[in-house]
Amino acid sequence: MGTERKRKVSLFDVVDETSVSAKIAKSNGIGATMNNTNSSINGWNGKPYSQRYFEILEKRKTLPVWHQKDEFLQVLKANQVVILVGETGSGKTTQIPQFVLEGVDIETPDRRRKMMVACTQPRRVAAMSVSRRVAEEMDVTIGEEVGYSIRFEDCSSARTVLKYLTDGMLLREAMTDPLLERYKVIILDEAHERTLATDVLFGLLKEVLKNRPDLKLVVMSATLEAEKFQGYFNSAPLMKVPGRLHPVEIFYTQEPERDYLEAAIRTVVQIHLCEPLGDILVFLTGEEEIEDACRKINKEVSNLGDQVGPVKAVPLYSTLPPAMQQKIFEPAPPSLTEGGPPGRKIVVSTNIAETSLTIDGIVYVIDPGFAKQKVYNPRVRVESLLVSPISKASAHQRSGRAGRTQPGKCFRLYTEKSFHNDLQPQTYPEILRSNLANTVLTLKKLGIDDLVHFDFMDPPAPETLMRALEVLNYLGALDDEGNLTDLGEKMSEFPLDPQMSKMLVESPKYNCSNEILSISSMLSVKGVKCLGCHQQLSCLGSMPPAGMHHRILIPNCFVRPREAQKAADEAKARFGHIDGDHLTLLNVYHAYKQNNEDPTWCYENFVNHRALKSADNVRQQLVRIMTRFNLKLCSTDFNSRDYYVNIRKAMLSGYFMQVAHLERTGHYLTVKDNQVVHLHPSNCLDHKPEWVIYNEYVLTSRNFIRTVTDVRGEWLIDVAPHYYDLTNFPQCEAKRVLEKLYRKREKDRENRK
Amino acid sequence: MAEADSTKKESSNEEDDYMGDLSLFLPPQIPNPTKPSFNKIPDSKPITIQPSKKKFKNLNWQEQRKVERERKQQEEDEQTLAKIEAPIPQSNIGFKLLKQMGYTPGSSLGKEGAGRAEPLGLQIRRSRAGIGREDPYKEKRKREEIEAEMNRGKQEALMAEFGSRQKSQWHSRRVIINFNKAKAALDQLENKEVVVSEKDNEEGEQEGEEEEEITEEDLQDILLKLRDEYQYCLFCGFQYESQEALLSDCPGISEDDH
Repeated sequence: MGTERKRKVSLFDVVDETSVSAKIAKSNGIGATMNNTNSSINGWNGKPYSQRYFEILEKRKTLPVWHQKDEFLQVLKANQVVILVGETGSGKTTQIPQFVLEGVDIETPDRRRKMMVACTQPRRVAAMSVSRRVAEEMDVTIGEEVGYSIRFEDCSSARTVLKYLTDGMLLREAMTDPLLERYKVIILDEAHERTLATDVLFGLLKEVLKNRPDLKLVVMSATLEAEKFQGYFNSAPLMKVPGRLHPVEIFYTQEPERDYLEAAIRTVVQIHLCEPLGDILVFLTGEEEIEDACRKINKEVSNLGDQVGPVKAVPLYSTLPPAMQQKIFEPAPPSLTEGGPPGRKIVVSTNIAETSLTIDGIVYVIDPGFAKQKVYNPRVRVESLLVSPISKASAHQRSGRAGRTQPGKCFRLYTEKSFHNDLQPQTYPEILRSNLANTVLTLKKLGIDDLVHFDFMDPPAPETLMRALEVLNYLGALDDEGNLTDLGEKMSEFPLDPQMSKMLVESPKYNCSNEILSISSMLSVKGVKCLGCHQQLSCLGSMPPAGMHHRILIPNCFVRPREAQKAADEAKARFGHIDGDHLTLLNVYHAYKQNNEDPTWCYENFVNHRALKSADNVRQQLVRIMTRFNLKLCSTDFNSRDYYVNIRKAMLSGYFMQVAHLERTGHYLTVKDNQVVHLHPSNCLDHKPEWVIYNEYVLTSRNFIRTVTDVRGEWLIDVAPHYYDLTNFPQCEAKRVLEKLYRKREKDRENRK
Repeated sequence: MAEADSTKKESSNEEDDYMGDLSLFLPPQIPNPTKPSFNKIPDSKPITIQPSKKKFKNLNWQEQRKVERERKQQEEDEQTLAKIEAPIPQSNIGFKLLKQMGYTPGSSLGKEGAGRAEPLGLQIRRSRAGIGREDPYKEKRKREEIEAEMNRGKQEALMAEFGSRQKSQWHSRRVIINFNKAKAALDQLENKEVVVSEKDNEEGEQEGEEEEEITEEDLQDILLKLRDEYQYCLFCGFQYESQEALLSDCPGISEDDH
């Protein structure tokens, strides 16, 4: 937009920045000492700039966004909300917050404290890595002037003026600081990803902006939904920053493909035979498919003989160990003979490579048009993770990957007609695809009572909210009028699913809060396989949906390398508890602690050290919250017969709605919904219990319940009589069993009399 | 070589055409000749199951298990899809709570009520069919449905054709019978005295020719003649006194009217 009008900035044109800061210094008056005209002193910490600072500064000035610095600051000065659109590579994430610091007065009457600039990120890893980079660019120490804050980790101080944080963390801060008064400017980055937390922040900030005219908001996004944002924020001005993309030629197939995997492999071979040098990126949907494709590609190319250059097919998916992930950055293999045809690197990836990872040297992209997508259905409360067609926006993003270093080509394995007719324009935002129980609790805590008319950018389906309200009501977090109860207040303080928070709050009553804390942290780590997922704990990990944020994952606490699967399974079996997976997790945690958190022990026992370490960290944070609410930390004597019984009952106090009953036919049916489900093969039970609680119900290749533990029917009517009220229960086998249990209960009571 | 190829191609083409032509003369697809043809219309199911069962026997146990697993998966998927059709009932506490917040059943949420009314549905793809192509399972089912539909259509058409042919045969036979009757009546009325034997003989001789010639129009002509000249209606079997009586009392000219 503005680049043509702007004069070209020479590489050595340092005047630009200092003149601006000088101008601001003058207008501020106070800032005179800070933005010292002597540009060899860092205004933020008073130390002289290092050599590296100037080196980086030169590079920074070549970023496209620098050309529009003045324009941006002017627009920001004149408006409360600015929408900034820029493709990847424009430098907006690192530069814009620094521009804001230069251009906006963050002083307060109290000269010891400054107001802050916040920049949200959908991913934890991004918040950490970008803040480190920016600290370096500003020549300050991370955690001081520039910091970050992610769930379970706050790396900021009283001196912090620029804070990168996950969108979920900003939402949490709003729970205690409803007008976000610590902030002068809030930057919502990667807004096009439309994470649950970003969407809630949109609605919330719209309200806050009305009450705080001095607060400014910058919404940063890839081109995709800019007009939608503009419409939502009352026609806020829109600025465009060009990216650094080379043209990409797009090819479609003539006919729809019979088998996209075969077609992808065929296309790889064709490119390898006919196209000039350059690496290939193939998008597929999941681990198994990717490993399969890599094998086939290597085989097919080697079958072609030595007239053809060698290839190296490398897989990339989130559950791949980090060391293996590094392989994608290795160069293409050299030619087999001197002067022979050159080699090629072929990266076969899930949509990790769509936005969050940049691999240099990619010239060809093969896009079959599919990705695994997570969708929650409130009617049967199932979270499905199925292969679905991607959106046009995703397809666009994928093709862009071919033009990062030079002009490239993208082969779409579908017809042009299909592109126009069969692909939806945008990936559905997370708020339409998620269980909202936790979000509703947060909104309630934020004081938003009218969820029906709340200004969501994309309002969720009524039934999704109904289910959330129902769950919160049964858990006792909301009363029958929909008001937040004291229990609900407490629960909202835990950055966990409401079921889990309830279980934690109740655990002292069952004399096992220590154990429940351990299980919860282990479940959190297991559930939050993704570091990016701070809001939704039940995210499924292995395959992230299109355009969404669960990309970098902490692997499951159990390691199962391909080459040592049997040994790994045996190791896991040693931790196994016959009554269920929750108790197995507890065993692992205890064993880890007994072995002094030893990484070697972890390695030998096929346990992921990183996962356990972070579980331990999560546990400490949860202990802090428990102590804040004066919740007793206690344990039943390990030798008591009730040790495990108490734990299982405590779990039931939170998860009584996630119960399945074994029918005489040998199938499990979920309670009330009567959905046929199967125990996930990863379970460690040695029998099929009549009743089980489960941590999650997912639809993948089949309807699975994952992480299950044996419970007794009597406990159901003890722990949650309000949910197992048979007047409100569909006719089924489970009901008849429960009726018997109630009758038995009556008889026992009479006999006692 | 090229020539030979082309001739081969041609000949094969010819063969194809020839076969193609032949197929036109074949009876329309009767998969099982021993099967009684028309009575069992919903026969498409056993037909489709038969080959898969046959296949089943030839597969080894691993493949059998795979087929079995896929079948179960399909069943389960269908169940799941059926389950998510049912909305959350109004008796649900969540429904009530949302209603208390001002939700009108059937509407959508949001500031302008512009949200989704229904949760996102599920689309289950169990194959690697590319975009723009349906799941082969779904496709197969659709094809079967279409085939069954076509078969049914074909059978119906055949039935209809059969019926209409019978009807028309019966009709033309009726025409001849009526024509003969009418002719006899006309002769009777014209001559009063009929040399029956003579006429019969003549008729008998002419029958072969006449049968082909006699059309509905002939019948119509002769009926009209009877009516106009003798106020006689063949189907009433009655000679009216006057034209007016004929018009008012006789229900109509054709047999169907009677």
